[in-house]
Amino acid sequence: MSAGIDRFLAQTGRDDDEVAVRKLQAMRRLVLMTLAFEGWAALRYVPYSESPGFHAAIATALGVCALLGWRDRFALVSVGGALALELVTVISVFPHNANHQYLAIVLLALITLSFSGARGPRVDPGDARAAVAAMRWIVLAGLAWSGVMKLRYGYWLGGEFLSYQIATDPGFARVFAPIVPGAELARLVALENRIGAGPFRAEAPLLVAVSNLTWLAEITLPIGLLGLLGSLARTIAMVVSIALMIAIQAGAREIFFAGMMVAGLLLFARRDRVSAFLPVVGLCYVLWLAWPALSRLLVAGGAS
Amino acid sequence: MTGSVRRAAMFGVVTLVALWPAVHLGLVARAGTDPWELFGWAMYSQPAARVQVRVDVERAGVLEPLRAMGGMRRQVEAFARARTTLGRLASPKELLATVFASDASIGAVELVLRDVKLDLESALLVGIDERVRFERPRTVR
Repeated sequence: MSAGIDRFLAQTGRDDDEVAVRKLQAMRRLVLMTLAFEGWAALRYVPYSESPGFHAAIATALGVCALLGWRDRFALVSVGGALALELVTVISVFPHNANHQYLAIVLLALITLSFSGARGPRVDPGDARAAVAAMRWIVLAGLAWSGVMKLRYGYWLGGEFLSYQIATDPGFARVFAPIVPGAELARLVALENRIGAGPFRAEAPLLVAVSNLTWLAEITLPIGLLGLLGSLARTIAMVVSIALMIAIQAGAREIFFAGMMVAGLLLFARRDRVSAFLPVVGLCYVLWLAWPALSRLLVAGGAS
Repeated sequence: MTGSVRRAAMFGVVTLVALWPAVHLGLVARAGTDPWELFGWAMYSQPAARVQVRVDVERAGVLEPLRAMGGMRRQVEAFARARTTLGRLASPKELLATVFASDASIGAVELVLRDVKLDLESALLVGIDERVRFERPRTVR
């Protein structure tokens, strides 16, 4: 059975020992860093803002875990601590949790399972390989299910969802402005978000095409990522998936979810690319956390 | 824990995460939970769910809207948030207890739950109302 499980996990790719250990180390640092920043960012929102002292204490503790967890020596205790803290967070505000919190818990659980205990803070390369492969499966499943859900609920087939988002979310309106004709964009953004408003229907063929290509890509890209079409197709599928993720997030702005998903997609590379991604994502998180203050400064500067 | 047990646990985690969205589909269909929530990979699959809650109270056989203020207002909002996320799995028990306790003359409470949805056929935003009635329980005075 053990060999069967190893074979199943390895379907998403097989890393060299050293690469697997480095990828797992980079994922550990990334997830811990994500949670440390997310803990502070969440304080802006209900229900976290209703008990700020409690959630600020958890965010501080997650920050300590991220700092300690940077070093292999403290990896197990920091990952275990962050996992416990995140479980407390999820339970304390359930059901008003962000999906990236569940994703972080799953990734932390896989990282925790890669520690044997017998080797101290060091990870067995075989376990690291299995944990990284399991993370790749999670990313694959998530990508495929995202496409299936869009298809199942039907709001992407005629571009209704994108029309509604363009109408009600200025972020989406900005992102889609280049491909939606001016008259249609003006009609959509003039619609109100109230009962009776509409129709939230896409008329621009390009918008309908983008809408359908999105769910199609999410369902088909995992086939390429699995390596069923060769290693070149796998690399192309990884690059396209990352581009798709960034494009979606330009409108959705789910930065913590995007950070972990892009890192997960980078696990499909032959070498460790997650380590190089860490400073990029760290900078994005800093800017995201500082954005409210920065935008106030910019507005104040513009006014004076 | 041996290496094979740990890898079996990893396999279990992957299996759980991969199969959960199928359960999630059922929860959305049967209980009316919000597709965006509960890790079903269905965020942005449709407009975010929104349920508005109005509380009507019956005094001496006359039904009228309750003017909830302060703490009770916050409870109504909290229930609306829970109902939006959990659908019919959200319990109104705490809200009902507060409403009945606030006035002994209230004989029954009707929750008017308005589900605001984007109708695929017309592409218009529509409100689908559901009324749920609760008689004053005998234990609450």
